[in-house]
Amino acid sequence: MTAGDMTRAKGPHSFSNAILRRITLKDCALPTFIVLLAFVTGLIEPRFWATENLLNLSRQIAPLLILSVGQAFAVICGGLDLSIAANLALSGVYGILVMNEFGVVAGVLAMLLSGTAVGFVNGFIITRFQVSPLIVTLGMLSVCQGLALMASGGLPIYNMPDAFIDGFGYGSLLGVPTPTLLAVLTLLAGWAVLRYTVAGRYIYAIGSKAAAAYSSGIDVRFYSMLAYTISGLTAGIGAIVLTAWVNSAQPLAGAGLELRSVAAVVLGGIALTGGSGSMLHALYGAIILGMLSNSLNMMGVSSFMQTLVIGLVIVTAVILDKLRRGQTPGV
Amino acid sequence: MTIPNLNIPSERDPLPEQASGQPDGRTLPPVLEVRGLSKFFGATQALADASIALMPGEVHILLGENGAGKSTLAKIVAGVHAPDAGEIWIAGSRQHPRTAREARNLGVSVVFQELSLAPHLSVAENLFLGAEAASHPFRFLPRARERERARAILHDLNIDLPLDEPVARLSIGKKQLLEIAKALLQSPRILIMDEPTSALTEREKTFLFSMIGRLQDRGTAILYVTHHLREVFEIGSRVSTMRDGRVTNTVTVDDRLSERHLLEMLTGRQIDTTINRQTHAAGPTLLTVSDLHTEDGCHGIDLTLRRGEVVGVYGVVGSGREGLARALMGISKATQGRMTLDGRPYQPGSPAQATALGIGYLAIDRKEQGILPERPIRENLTLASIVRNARFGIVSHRRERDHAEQSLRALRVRYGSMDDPITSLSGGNQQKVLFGRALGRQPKLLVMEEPTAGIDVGAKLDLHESIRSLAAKGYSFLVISSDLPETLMLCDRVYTIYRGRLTDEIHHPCLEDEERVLASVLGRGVGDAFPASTHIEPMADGVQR
Repeated sequence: MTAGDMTRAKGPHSFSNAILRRITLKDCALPTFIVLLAFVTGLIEPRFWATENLLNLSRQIAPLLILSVGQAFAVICGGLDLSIAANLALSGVYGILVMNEFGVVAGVLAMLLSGTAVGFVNGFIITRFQVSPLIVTLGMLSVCQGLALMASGGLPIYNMPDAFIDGFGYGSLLGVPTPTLLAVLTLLAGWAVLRYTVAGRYIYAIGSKAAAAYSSGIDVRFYSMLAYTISGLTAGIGAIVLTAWVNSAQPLAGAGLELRSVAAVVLGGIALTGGSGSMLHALYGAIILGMLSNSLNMMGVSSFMQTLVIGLVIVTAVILDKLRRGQTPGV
Repeated sequence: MTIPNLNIPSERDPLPEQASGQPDGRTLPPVLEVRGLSKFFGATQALADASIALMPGEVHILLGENGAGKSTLAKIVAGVHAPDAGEIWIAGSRQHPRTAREARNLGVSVVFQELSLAPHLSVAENLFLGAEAASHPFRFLPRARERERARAILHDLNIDLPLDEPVARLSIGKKQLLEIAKALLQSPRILIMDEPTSALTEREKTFLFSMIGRLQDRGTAILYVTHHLREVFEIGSRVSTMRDGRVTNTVTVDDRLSERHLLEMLTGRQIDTTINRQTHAAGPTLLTVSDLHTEDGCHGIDLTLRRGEVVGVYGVVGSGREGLARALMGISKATQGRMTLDGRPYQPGSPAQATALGIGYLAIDRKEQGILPERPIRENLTLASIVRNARFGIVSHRRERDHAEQSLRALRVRYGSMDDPITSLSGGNQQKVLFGRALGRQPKLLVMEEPTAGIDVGAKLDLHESIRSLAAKGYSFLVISSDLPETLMLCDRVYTIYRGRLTDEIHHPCLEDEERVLASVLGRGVGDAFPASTHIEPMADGVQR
């Protein structure tokens, strides 16, 4: 009893202390980089700060951010989801096919359902047969692409209700574009699940040391499966945003986003070995990657060059991350 | 038989027969001298001011329990780890081997416990792995010459290995011999062997020992790391014991040295600590196990355990004690037999189910099955009990912190902030946190494997005290430990286990029961005369005699 009273008495004090202790130089590095990047781009091209460009930028980042949230779950749990972008494309195709038959609501639900189902299958295979997430999701990438190509006949589906395009692609609420809004909501939900739920705690534990979680009485299979299922769900959300925004369901939509989402979470500081990092890191990573494209575009850098620069940034980030952890190479 | 002398000399107070440095009265300078070596891994001190000297032509045994720092010492000399403090002198000059290659060039070769062989390469290729890299990376490998030398070396060592066989197809013992041959390729002045017999059959072991004898005759100094007492007498010239990262004693192996003496040097701190075991009446029966058979080594185990009881199961590695814990936790399935918990049939399918039914688990390996290295102390502690601090799956961080703070205080964990990483704690404090985790769901029974392995005395006593006071409150404990003094002093009742069966049951055990227990776990009659052997040697040795 006394212990509890004491904690409460010094609660605010120790809380602010805890926050101060947590904010270290390395936590400021990425936000500083983001501000700096924005500042430099603004100097070279003042149009960067135009409201229209910023809103457009946020809409551009939305699909990557949404997938990064899902990717973060898989990575923190000690795995990886390479099928996430192909899952997005498949869910988009299925969703639009359903939408044209049964209406917008049914179509949106179909996208979410399809994404979740693929994630569940990933999780089921990985946990049931104890196989490498890398290989399973890589295989699933191809499976999803194949299914999407078969369902669409290999061609983009442009035919979709205007209500869907207007609502999810170009609509806005209080001036905020719907894709941005959906991305932020996904991020907040993911953040809350990781930070405030038992499931989140277990996912961290499994990523940190699965054997320890198992012998502590945690249902490791169930919660690993949950992480991949959540990852799949974000692919469904991403499908809504991307399909509405580009006005078409493409069987190979979002190609490359799987690697960019992995890059985003690693760039943000979530260890690929699992067990650490937070949604904030996924946000930083997605913003930096998204902003780089936008900034380089505005600076008139060719898209070939952009690809190169982004690759270099990712590799540099990983090296910096390794150095920050103070590990010597070669061990 | 009682333990004659409980006055264990400290490292500052050497034994009378402390060797002055030279076996056989020779006055050669040491070929390897290690002075004041210290090493931290995080906040865990693996080595604390350890010093040791190695003479040419001697087999110096480094003896210690798990976690005593033996392997760390060996790895520092081998250039695998860098010391935080201390000096290494090789052949009279101060050296800092920073990589295994540098150490090798200084004449130090090592045979590690974890084999460093490439399984898909052949015997001959493995023999020269690392050695060939000294030349230009794109030079053609001198295959014919390598084969010739490989054959010569293996012949010289009298090792019969097929040169072209992929290593993956060799038995573990053969792999070990190959590893040793590889170490000898460099004709080292100093050979370090880390538990070389752990995987060898009796014949291979004899062979290895004769090989060691020949090396010794050639003047090679051998540092032999082991936890088998018997090997001291079989091959040792001198023996140093390690405890808690320190070299506590160095003595010459001669007729005056007995296994009993070594045992005291090894376990000294446990023998002179006493536990205030308040007896309280045990409650009703909590757990019964009858005729339990499992695939991993239980062949008909019967035991009962009452509420408020601390019951020990003592046996050597491979005796079936691991299988018992795994069956109780639902990790392995019972192939035959019956268990009941509180009178109801008990058949867990996983630790998750066992935990839900009220059986907690403190698993054997703190590093591999215990701590979550990336997570803070708080999350490590509340992992199993987080559901108690959550409503509808939403965690109350305030309640969790309160709970964590209370537990940390009750367990006397020394920590900075509960948000610090668990790896910032010492081994003993980490273990206390894991104990707190296992208690988090308030289990009726806590199954513990090696609860105090490799932790300091203070933490050990704290843990024992916690266990006793919880037992008085009605919690039950099943202690599976290979620490005999601990088992005897902590438990209300001790079962001995041998070849998958319980062989003896001792009520209110005390240290005087040591002889009887050792006889039971090694499969001998109580009356048989034998020098008090140790609890840490594998079963095969005991049977063989």
